[in-house]
Amino acid sequence: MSQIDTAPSEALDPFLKQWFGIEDDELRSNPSCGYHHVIIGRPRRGLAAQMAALFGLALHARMGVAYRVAAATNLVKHLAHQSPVWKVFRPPP
Amino acid sequence: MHDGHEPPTNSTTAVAEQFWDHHHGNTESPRFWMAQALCRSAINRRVTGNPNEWPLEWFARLYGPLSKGLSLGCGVGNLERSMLDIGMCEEITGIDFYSKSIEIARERAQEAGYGDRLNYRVGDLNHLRIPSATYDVVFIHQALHHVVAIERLLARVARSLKPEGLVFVDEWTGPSMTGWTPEMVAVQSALYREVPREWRRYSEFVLPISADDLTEGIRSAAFLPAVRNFFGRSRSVPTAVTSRRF
Repeated sequence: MSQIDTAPSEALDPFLKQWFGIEDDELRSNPSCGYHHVIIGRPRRGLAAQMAALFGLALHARMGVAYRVAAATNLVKHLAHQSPVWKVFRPPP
Repeated sequence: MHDGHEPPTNSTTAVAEQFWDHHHGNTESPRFWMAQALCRSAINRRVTGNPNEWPLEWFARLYGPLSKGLSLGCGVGNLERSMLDIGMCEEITGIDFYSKSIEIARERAQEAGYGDRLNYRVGDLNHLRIPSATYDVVFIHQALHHVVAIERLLARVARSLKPEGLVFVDEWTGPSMTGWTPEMVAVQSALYREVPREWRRYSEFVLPISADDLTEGIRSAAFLPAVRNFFGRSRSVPTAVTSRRF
């Protein structure tokens, strides 16, 4: 939405209706394809909770390295965005 | 329980804090996609079955009223005031990383007459300390995609809930900031080119990653598996999709 917010509202509405029709079809045929979710949950208890905690710890440890690399990469990108050189390549608003 | 200010943990989160302290009003703009009337109707319909019923109203109707709530990534406090307005909770604690947002949330709680029922504090969700078996419900609304330590946070959230407590999450679950493959970008770019040129803010599709907020989508793809791990009895409804056809 933030990338098409210059559209006039009378034209945007039919466009969005068409878009949501496509999305509805997509979700019907493949419910796992959503990029946004609403989730209601109750936590696991007892042994299941302990197993979940162990599994979560393992995942966290594995991902710890991955996110630090990602964070460092993006920090460099951020610093690049601050430089005057970057402005040459920035897309026009 | 730790109630003090937890400072930024590294330069990435410090940059993000600076960004959100200056852009805390972003989600209140009528241009924010979730505030657009047709988008709102579509999300409501997919979650609740009714285009006019918001997911949180639906949640309150099914599970409320409850006593103590916790709202993580509360921003300027819109969710908490709405929950008290509809009688979902008796009291709610809101936590956000951004001090300016917390300041505004406190002011608005006072203005709404909820000063004694809404408590706010600054806290980093990556290192959150919350009491065990205390809350009936924990709300996480568009905040988890800024969190790196998703598993640690969800483990603590699970422990903080009473035995029959609930978690309500409304969240971006798409690719992590570094997970956009060339194929994904190609699909999005093709879709964007279908939009009339005069409507486009940019000449080409721009990834939903902000150079000014380095936590945006930092580990969003890890979120659904982590929720399934900690919250076995869960119900998940997709609310929006990026089409893979075209």
